Amino acid sequence: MFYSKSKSIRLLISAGMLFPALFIVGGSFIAGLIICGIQSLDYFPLIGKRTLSLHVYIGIFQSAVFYRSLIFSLGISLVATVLAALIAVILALWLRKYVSQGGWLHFLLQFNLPIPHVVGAIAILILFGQSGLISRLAYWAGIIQQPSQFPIWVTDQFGIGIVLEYVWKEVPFIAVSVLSILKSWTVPYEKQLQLLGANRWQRWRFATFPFMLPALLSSSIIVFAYTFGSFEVPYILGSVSMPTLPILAYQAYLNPDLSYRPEAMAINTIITIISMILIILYIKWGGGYAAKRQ
Amino acid sequence: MRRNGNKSRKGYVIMLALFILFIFLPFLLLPVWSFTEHWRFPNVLPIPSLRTWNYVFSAHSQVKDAVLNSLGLALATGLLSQVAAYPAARALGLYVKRWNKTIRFVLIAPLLIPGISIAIGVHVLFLHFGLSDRWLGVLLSHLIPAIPYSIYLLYAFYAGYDIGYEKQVRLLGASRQQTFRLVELPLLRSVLSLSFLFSFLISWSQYLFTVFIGGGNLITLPMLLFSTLTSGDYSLIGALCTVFVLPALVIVIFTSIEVKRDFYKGKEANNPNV
Repeated sequence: MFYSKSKSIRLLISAGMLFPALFIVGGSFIAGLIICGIQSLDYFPLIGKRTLSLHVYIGIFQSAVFYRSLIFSLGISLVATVLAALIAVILALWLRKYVSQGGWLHFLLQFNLPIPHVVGAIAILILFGQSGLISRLAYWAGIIQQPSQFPIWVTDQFGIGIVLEYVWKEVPFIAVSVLSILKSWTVPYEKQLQLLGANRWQRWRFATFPFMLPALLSSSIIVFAYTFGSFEVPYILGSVSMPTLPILAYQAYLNPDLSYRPEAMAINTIITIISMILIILYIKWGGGYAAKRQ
Repeated sequence: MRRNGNKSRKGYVIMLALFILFIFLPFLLLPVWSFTEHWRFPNVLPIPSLRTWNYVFSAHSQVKDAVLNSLGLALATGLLSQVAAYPAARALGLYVKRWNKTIRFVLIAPLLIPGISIAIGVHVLFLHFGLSDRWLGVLLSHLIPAIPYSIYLLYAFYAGYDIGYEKQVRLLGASRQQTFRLVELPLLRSVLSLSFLFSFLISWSQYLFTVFIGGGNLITLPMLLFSTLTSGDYSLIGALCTVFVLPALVIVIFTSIEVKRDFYKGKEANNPNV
């Protein structure tokens, strides 16, 4: 909207345009992260601690509870991501045949994308809980006599309920991004290969798979990063004795005993660092894909 | 496909049914629950009743306040997020060349960093400035995840935007307002409304930021949902979830209409080089 010749005026206007967003997002977010980082180093004037030390981190890295929840968090994310990606690829490959028959299927696929995770978690609770719908059907089929005989799928030790929710929610997300590639990019190449006499497997191996890999990879990294840091779903569907890392941070932060604060901040910092690594991976693998599409 | 058309048609119907079951069954149960008196264990069919909906619409229920709070916050977030994101996205897409990637990264990072780490840090920050426990503070905290989403959507628009149209109109003597109204806005409209809807939804479904920054003083729909969850009244939970999902449905319908419109524009929409 401006065509001023003066370089400094142009710079000033650009800065003015960026300022509100940078001030609210960048400012509070970066300040928040810095505060977290400092408090995790045991700097906490409110209870008289003014020296920096690493002993909170040392304590965390020696505690079994921390490792258990770290591995649990990573494991849940990994299983959920792999399952969701597998199902999404199969779904996308199957759906692409029918997408041309109208936008109806595509419409259905997008349906649960904006549904909040909280609602998804409650839905899983109602379906798979010990007195949920599936348990009732099992009762009527004569498989079980009372709710306690139904296997514990939600608020369980292994995070089955959490994984179920993530898979249900993320399959459409990955499928949509893979499908958009399959629909527009791969078809001419597959036809070309077919003309040259390639069989089904060769077409998949040389055209379909390489083309959908970047979309699959980048959406899978997003899913992994999201599920790793998500709070609401494990809060509703997780077991109290088996907290994920975000839950651990939440509990430590809300503990009325303020001496737990640095621990909360340290766990938070660790979550942030792991997410940062995932983001760098995303930019490395997914950024090129985004640039290619433009 | 042609060879055994009948067979694949049957397979199609079966797969479609499975697919619909997989996608819809989980949250279709929630409105059903909301219309029950109670639904004890062995019963597959519930006892229908309007108890919870009568409670939701009654004068003394917290639900109405929570919905109004959520609605006000989400509308304000949606609007303010566009006000902040629109100039930033335009500047990043069209004018700013140096540091472009870094600035974009900072502005989009809150989408990728877990909510819990941002919420806790921002809570401590807002405590310093006396913004916590206040409506304004909660609104500001909702903007932190909402603005990045708007910038993400709007930047994608400006990255493919041809500023030549604007220059042309300006050359022909249009004023700035006219250029905005006649050239930029019509092109921007669908992305901008989508961005508004998503910011709305982000604020609408926000729990962590509201709990931390609001300190429990401001009751929104997600807060009510979480506190009802511990009470175990699944009929009420079903009703709250039903209300909670409504804006999301509006978004799905809106985007599908926009996609259709794109589809009818012609072949260019499917051109991979765009």
